[in-house]
Amino acid sequence: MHSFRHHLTATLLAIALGCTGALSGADLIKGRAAPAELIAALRSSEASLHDRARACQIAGEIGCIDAVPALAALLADPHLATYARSGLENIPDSSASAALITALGTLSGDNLAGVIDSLGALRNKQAVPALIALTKDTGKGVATHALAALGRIASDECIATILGHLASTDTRLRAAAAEVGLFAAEQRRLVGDKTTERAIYEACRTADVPALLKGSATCAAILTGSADAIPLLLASLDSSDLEQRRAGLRAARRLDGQAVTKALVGRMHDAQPAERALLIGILVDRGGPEVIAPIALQAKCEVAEIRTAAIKALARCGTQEVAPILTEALDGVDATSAMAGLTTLKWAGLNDYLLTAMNGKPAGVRARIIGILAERRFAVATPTFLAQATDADATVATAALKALGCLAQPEDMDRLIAVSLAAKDEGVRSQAERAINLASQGNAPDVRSAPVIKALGTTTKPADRALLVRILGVQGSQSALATIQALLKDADEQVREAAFRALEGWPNAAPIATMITMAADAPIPAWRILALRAGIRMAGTETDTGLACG
Amino acid sequence: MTTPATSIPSISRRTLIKKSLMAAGAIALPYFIPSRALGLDGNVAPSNRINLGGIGLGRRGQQVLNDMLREPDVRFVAICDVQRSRREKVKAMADSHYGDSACVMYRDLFELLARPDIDAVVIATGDRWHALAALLAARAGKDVYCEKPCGMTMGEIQALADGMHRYGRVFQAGTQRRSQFNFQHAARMAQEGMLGQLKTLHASVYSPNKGYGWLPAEPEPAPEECDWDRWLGPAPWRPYNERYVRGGWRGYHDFEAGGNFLDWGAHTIDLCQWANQADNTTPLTFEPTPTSVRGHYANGVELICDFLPDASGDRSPHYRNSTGTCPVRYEGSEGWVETGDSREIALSDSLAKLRQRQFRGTGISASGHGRNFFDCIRTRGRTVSNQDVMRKSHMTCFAAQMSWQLGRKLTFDPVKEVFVGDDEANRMRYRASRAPWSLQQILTPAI
Repeated sequence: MHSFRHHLTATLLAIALGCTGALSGADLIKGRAAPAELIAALRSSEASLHDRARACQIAGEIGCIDAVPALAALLADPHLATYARSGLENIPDSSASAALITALGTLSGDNLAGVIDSLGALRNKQAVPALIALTKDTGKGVATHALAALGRIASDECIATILGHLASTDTRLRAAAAEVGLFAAEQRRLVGDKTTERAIYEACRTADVPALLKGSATCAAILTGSADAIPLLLASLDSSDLEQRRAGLRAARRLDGQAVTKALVGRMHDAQPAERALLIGILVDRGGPEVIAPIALQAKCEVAEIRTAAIKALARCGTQEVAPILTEALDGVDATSAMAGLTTLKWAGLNDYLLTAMNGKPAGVRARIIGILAERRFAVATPTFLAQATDADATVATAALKALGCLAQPEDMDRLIAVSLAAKDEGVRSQAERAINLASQGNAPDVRSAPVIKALGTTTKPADRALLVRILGVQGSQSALATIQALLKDADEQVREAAFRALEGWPNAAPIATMITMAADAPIPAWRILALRAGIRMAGTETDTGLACG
Repeated sequence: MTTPATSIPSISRRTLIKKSLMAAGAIALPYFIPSRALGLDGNVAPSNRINLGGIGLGRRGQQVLNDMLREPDVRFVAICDVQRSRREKVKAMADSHYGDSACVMYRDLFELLARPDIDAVVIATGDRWHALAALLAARAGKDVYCEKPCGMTMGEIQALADGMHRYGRVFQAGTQRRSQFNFQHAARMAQEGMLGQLKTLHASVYSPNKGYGWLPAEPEPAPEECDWDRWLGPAPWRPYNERYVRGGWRGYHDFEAGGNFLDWGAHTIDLCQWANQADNTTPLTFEPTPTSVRGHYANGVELICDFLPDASGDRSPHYRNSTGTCPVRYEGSEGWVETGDSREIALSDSLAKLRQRQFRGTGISASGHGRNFFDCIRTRGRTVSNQDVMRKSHMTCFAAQMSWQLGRKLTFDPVKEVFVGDDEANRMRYRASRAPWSLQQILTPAI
């Protein structure tokens, strides 16, 4: 047993790899040759269930035609039937589907259902007469499986049978027929048969079937774009049935045409608030210049939910007309939506418009506008941002410094440094430091350090000098290194501390010698430990090609 | 085995209420009830709540549920699982959160789906059940949040996407990284040209493998403890082994979609599709290498699915170790951006000035993704990971995986969703399901 199984597994593997000794891989792949061992495994009572299952799958994978009888014999097996079907479904030969059709007459229960499913998957037209018979034989318990298979095949005969069952006295069979009918209609749409498609939807819509399926049929009927599509759409929105209304909403989003948009705009004006909010979302999904003005009108509605829906919708429009409304909305509960909309709005004049609009606005609004202009990379506004970086309101100053972080140029550094040193608010000062670090990133190392070193030469306050030292520590240039090493002997303790910390956290290994020295003789014991750790780190430092932002 | 019974509810609690209101002379026909209907104390009125059920919530599903429980307008009312221990654990989660014992347990998903008061379900059963459970739920009138991969084959994905349209349900695939700020930011950078002309997208995937073995057979537990037959569902029969149901089903061809490829790939490839603004298409060609699969889009962008051996460990040369799991990297003519689950957004030095973000990120975790789902339930809008987005990203995943499995270049038609000139690949788009769990025929009770 063990040797047989070992041999069998090896053979199965070889077959799967297409490299048996007696047959070529090409022969196997073409499915013309019959690997005797594969079929023997399928039929063997000695082989394990696993090996037989795998043999079924391999037979399908390699398209082994000669394995069809052996696979067919397993269609009644309680454990292997699915594997056998997977094999047969994949064998590209009429003998495989013929075996499945033959099995219809001998199987029952789940095994019969499975074979029916396989014939549906294969869209086998030869099976249609047998499948039709099975839809009428409720005693076998597979009528709905057979209907579903007919829906997959979707020939004229299949569709006639399916629609016939819409009048069944059996509730479940009617529901199944409607469901399958929808599927069959989709198959007809794929081949361009709109007439049959519409007929199926109409039959399903008017049949005594569950509301969800009627709703699906209604939506689909509307979307076929027939002459009565718009009346049907509006009628569904007026329906007392939830599924019909939902169908209407779905169709409203997807049905093409300006006439549809016009009808929906007309409806929106008179709709109750709940529906109106939904229609706003649908109209903006539909798009087109004709939706903007009606939605803009809703942005002035006294009902808060409507205003919010309108602002959110306008934020997605992205055109010039909505700029004033969104700008106004920056001062309110819908500010986030307005910001998102203005950031991506495609109007060349928006930047200048916002810069002007900022005047006289509350601090929060000004901060938001600064952020929007920075996101839009409006570098022309840098002088304005430099002025606002000293604004009495910390929110505005912080926003301006954030903007300068990505927009400031080398020639702006002196002024930016002056702003940071003048800042009284710790949060603003911290943001200024970050802005200087970011704004100088694109410059050559010693170029970026020059203005900082210059400022260090004229600044006397220890806290200010410490800030500048920290900045130099991040920049990590040669000139910065020389400057900071000299500051290890500065008269002020705060500056010495800042200098040590900057060297300890240096971005490359340049100060390693200093760290090793300080590990031995730094005046503060804690520094010795930190210097030792830094030295070890620097000994293994690799060049990093990109720095991360938080 | 009997064919399961199901029913399509003909009337929901909301419909019943609305019909009563109509009879009483009210004129509004609500599609959703606006926020002013909220109670003055902040509690959400029962008629405005979304009642949620869960199907197969294991480790990942419980993480998703944990986020969803925080939504004030959602009430988790029922759990279905074929394993008793998991049913009880999830019920305990819900009961602890709400301070009552109202969450109902089911072993049979048809019983849960038959409840007219349940509006939506979260499905996290494991790959083999996702598509079928989602369609059964949609057919029962429920909106669906379905974990990824959403199906086992291309065929299942097509059936799922078409079915969601047919039944008109709101669908959200569990690709929650689309709702996370760092991934959103990186995608926006690619979409808006901040990287210059987009050239290459890197999607990390687990090194693919496919297992066909069976674990040793063990005695089947009583169905009430673990209903093995129902656990298998549409997957082919094999003998029970406890390891499968404890999460050890991964790596097996019969249980896991795409040979490990879609475990991360369903996320990372989806993110690359998004960055390339390719949600309505797929690459045209797929070609395997020893360490990747390379796809090429019609717009010239290259997608590289890099094989990573495990969730942690060295990611070089393609990714930084600091970006965490599920890293993606987008490369353009002017620079690159990389991000992952650590939330770090790494930029090339050439894009240094873009490191300053103006607005605080608001995307969070699955909770943002869940919120999007619940909002769309109310508006009947389209979610960020709707069935059409899911369809194309999963098609891309499967095509890439099949290229690896077959060991050759494949050409794919993204409109017809077929492989060009490759019958073997086309046959691999479908698999037989174990009867009576057939996706293709979308069951009603067999008669």
